[in-house]
This record gives sequence, structure tokens and C-alpha cells, in this order.
Amino acid sequence: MLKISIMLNLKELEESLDKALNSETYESLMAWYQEIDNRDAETSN
Amino acid sequence: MPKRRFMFHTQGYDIPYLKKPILCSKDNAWLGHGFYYWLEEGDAIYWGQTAKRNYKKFGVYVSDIDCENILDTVFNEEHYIFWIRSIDKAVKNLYKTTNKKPTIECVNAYLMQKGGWDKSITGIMFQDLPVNDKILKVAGFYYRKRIQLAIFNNKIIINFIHNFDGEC
Repeated sequence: MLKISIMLNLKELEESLDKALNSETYESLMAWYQEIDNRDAETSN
Repeated sequence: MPKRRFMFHTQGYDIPYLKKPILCSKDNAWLGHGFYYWLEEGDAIYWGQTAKRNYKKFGVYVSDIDCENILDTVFNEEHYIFWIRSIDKAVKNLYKTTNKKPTIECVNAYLMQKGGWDKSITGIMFQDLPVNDKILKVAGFYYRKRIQLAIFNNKIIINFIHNFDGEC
């Protein structure tokens, strides 16, 4: 089995989330929602 | 925290027995799409008896899980605080942007994909309270945690063995 040895870096994860949220606009979020819907539709087909 | 845990995966009865766990991909799954395991056998059995009634019987499988890189919101205080803060922040921002309450699916997917959790968090351990009065040792006293692990990276599932079948 491939051993995953990266320890969780919560600070880095928090910064990553902050960055995503701070740069989010209504349009970018709607486009992402659409992407999820399309992916779900593909998976269920 | 132990790096390796022995956990229980419940599915509807199936012959031949499963060779690997089944991915839960329901949109309303609490922790998003993942392989769901119970920490305690009693909860795995109760889940089989209640959620797998359509099958008439259920199967409980066991696995050793490498828990080194899971987000442990049950026993690790730092992880728990991080988890709460991240969800609150995501929900607040998504609401502010769309003026709509986000769904469970959206919140989970956002944290995973846009928050970058999918790159390093292999699973999330989460607890609620046992709702089954039959397995409570003291009536009405919910002192025991009902603990689940949602696994996003199946490489941490070290083995997968059929344990027993039960009647619903």
C-alpha cells in the first residue's frame, strides 16, 4: 500500500479556504455550482 | 490518537460478499461522498437493522484504517476547532455571496475542492448521539458518542473482511 506521510497542516488548509472564499464572486460560485451539477449528471448516467 | 483503527462498514446483504467497501455518493451524506465506517460494532448493527430494511438482511464488514491524516473532530480538540471554524466561515461566505443557505453537498464539496482539503485530508471522523434506546445502558442517558468516519482516500483502507450477516 502506498503510505501517505504528509501530516495535516491546518494553518495551510485554513489559508487555502480563506483565499478561495475571499476571491469568490457570485458568478464564479454559480459557475462552480454548475460544474458540480454537470459532474453529478455525468456520474448518474 | 491511535494511527490505526479497527472499524465497521455496513451494507445490504449481498452474495457473493463484497470485496471492497461501497462509496456513498448521496448528496445529503453528512460528510460528503466517501466510504463510511462506524467505530463501534453496535452502531454498525443498528444501522444495518434500520437503514438496510429493503434488503431484509445486512452484512457487516471490518477494516483496519490508517488514521494518520484524517481530520479527527471527535478526539482532537485542535481538529474540532478547525472543523467548526471552517464550516462556519464557508457557510457564512456562501450565504453572503448567493443570499441562499448552502446545501450539505455544496459545503462539503466547497471545503474539499476549493478549500484544498481533498489534497491532504484522507477522511473525517465525526460524532453524533446514539438514537437507539435499545443499546443505551441507562435509559435517556446519551453518554456515549456515535462515531463515524467518512473516508475520501481509499488507500487508507488497509484490508476489508466480511464479519457477519444480520437480520433486519
